[in-house]
Amino acid sequence: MNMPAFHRLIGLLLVLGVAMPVAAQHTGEGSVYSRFGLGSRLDYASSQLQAMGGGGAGLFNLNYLNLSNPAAWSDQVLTRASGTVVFQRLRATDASGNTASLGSGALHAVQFSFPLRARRIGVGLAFRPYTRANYLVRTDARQIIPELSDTVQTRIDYAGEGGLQQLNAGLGLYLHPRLSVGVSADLIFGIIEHTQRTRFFDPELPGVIPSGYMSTLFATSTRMTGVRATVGLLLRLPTGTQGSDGVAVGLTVSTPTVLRATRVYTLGESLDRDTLGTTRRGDVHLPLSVALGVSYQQDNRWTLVVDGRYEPWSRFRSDLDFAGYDPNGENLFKDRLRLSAGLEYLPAGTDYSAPYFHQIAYRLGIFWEQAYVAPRPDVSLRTLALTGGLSFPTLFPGTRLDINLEVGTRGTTAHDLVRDTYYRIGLSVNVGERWFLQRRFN
Amino acid sequence: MRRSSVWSCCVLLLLLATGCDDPSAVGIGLIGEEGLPVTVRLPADSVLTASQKDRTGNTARVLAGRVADPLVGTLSATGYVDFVMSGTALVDTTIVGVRLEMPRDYVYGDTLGSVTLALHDMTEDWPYAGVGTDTTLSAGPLVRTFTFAPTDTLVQVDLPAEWIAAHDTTFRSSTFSTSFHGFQLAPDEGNAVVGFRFSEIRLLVFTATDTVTFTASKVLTTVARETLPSLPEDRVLLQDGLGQVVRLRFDFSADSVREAGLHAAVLEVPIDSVQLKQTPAGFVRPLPATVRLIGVNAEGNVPVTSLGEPIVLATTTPEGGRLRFRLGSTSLQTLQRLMLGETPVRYLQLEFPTDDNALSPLLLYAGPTLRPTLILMVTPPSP
Repeated sequence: MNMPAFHRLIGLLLVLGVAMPVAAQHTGEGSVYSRFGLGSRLDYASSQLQAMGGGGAGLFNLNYLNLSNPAAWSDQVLTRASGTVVFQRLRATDASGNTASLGSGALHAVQFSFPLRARRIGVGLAFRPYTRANYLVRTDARQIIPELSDTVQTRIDYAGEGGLQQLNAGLGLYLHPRLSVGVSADLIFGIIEHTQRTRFFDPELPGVIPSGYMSTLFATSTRMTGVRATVGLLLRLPTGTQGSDGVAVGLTVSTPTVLRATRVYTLGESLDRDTLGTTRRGDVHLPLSVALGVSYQQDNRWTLVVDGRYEPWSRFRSDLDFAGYDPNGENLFKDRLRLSAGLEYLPAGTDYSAPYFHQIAYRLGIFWEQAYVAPRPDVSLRTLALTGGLSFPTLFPGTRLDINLEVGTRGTTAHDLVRDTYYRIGLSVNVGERWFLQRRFN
Repeated sequence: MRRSSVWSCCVLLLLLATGCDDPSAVGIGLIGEEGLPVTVRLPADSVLTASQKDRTGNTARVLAGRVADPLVGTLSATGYVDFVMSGTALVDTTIVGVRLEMPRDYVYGDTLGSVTLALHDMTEDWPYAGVGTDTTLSAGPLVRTFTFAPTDTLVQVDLPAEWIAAHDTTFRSSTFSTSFHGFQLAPDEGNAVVGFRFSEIRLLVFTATDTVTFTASKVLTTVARETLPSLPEDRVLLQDGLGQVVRLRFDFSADSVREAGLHAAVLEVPIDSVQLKQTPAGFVRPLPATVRLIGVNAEGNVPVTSLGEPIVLATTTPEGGRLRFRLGSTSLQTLQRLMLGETPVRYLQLEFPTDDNALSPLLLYAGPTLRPTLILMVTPPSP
């Protein structure tokens, strides 16, 4: 690939990543459940795996950096850069049939990887979400205030913004034809902000702010930073005559870690905020994360992945309180479990002369997740989603454009909860080319 | 279909996917907040009286007279007025008479009796801008005294012939403005203070053929308290013209408002209108037309906005036995900062606008059960 083409693709990525979120009114998850804990837990391994249920701890793939398992980073030939933007529509429904619709769009993840030694040692760098808090619940009430001789329409927006991101940097090492290991350092950081904005309107003239009334914005911002390590193993068991055929089993363990947290309460708008009370500091203990995955690949055409991830959030501890967790009382956190499976079919396999539509990869997946927080102690919060996607080849070998779709439902309308129904569309640019070639002179 | 068209459709689809938001109360049960604003009454922690310079120079009216109010004591007001020629026409023939005309628009005191004022010459130029009501100015010789009913709408005073003769050259001079310094209107007899409209005070010079008008160029009122008021218990007197103000302090560290978000505010000041209405027969005790609320710092200075306006400013009219100040946007922002202890404003001060010169009193309740109270609509802070 020539550099102008590479730059054009990076430019497209930037446009999608920066301009589109501006068009969207809010970024992120959109579910009121993201108010709890540290926000909704998000998994992102690659655009390929996003369309295959989101697992992939046991998958080798030369065309994508698999963030599920750093051991998979050993198997690289091209230098790769990729970026993903995700757009979502979410519809929340309660027991009375009331609904709320929210749209969002955001740059989801950026990856960069390159082989130090082709198919032996590879380096991976990634920036991706760990949790995301993003919701908006709006109440409108007509308030009669006899003391002020007024009647006003009071609107309160409860909203959440931000989340924890993770910056991964690591190595994958080929130890044996059947075994690779990998390790990455994961910097987890971010700010989670919950706000309560109160505004007033004339009850007879919608949209008109009555004189003598002032809006307020309370915000609780929690900044957290910490580092953890992820270790991965990937065992390859050939099954066929072709070298690429076989079963692979992957295991990753992310260590528990402590995030240093600072929390401030503020009153006022962005540049004119007053800090209320004193800044609180404390530790937030994240649990370990274990993932086990199996993949099966045949004939460079079929890929099947099955995965499970377990995180014992019931052991979560924190000096600071979060919705659903009080250091001195209520603890609604539960162990998180995520099961997924996915399938990819690439009709052309490695035949780059095949017709264009034979070179498109077709992907399907499903996942089920029990969230790490249960807003009602006796009701687990579960998500079931179907995923799918298409991966389009480009004129540039090693570069693909992926479009993914995820349709899911979360929660229930029983027990005073809400059911989220959402669809999420992901768009990824995955660029690969040879870098760091030694110039040869004859 | 071209590949570029496929991708264009994809991007369009993604944009449509983000669409418009339609947030609602779905999920409010999971928020677990009692977020509706509440109304809180915060009585003044202290009600203090303080003094500040009251300026009457070139206000809307000039006062003169003496009133012995059984409630607020005896007050005397002395007025000063100077003139300029209103046109270019000079007095060029024999002066046959000079008359001072003063339209009355205010009376405080006994309206059944008469009022006598002493008219003195002012022999020197006198200041008016920035001069307090407690200033003493020396006056010249008595021109004459004149008596009128305090209910008269126009007071006319013909000046004596000897005074006219003494000032004949002055009236004919083109330097009248600098050589003539006006009159003092001093209380002499009667039990009322009257006010004359500055803009319509005139000095008419009659000649055999014409009438030349001199209009008032500056006025000033000085006020002296001659006896102290006898107030009922738990009352505070707020009286115009004396440079007296009332400062209110509030305890914003109270649990009900500490670090709360402020939405709306009204300051209610109860007035003892029963006492104010109890007057002898024919005695008029007018209520002030306007009362002003401003924020002042610990030294009594008024912090102002970049536009020069006080950062807390509201006005109201006594009505229904109370003063009720509704705070506007800038004042609300300042009050919010006051609640957070982040503004130089320390007191809310009740005073009278300087452009409306009067001696009208207000009797404010300041007892433990009835006192100035802020009614605040607030959202308590999140935990």
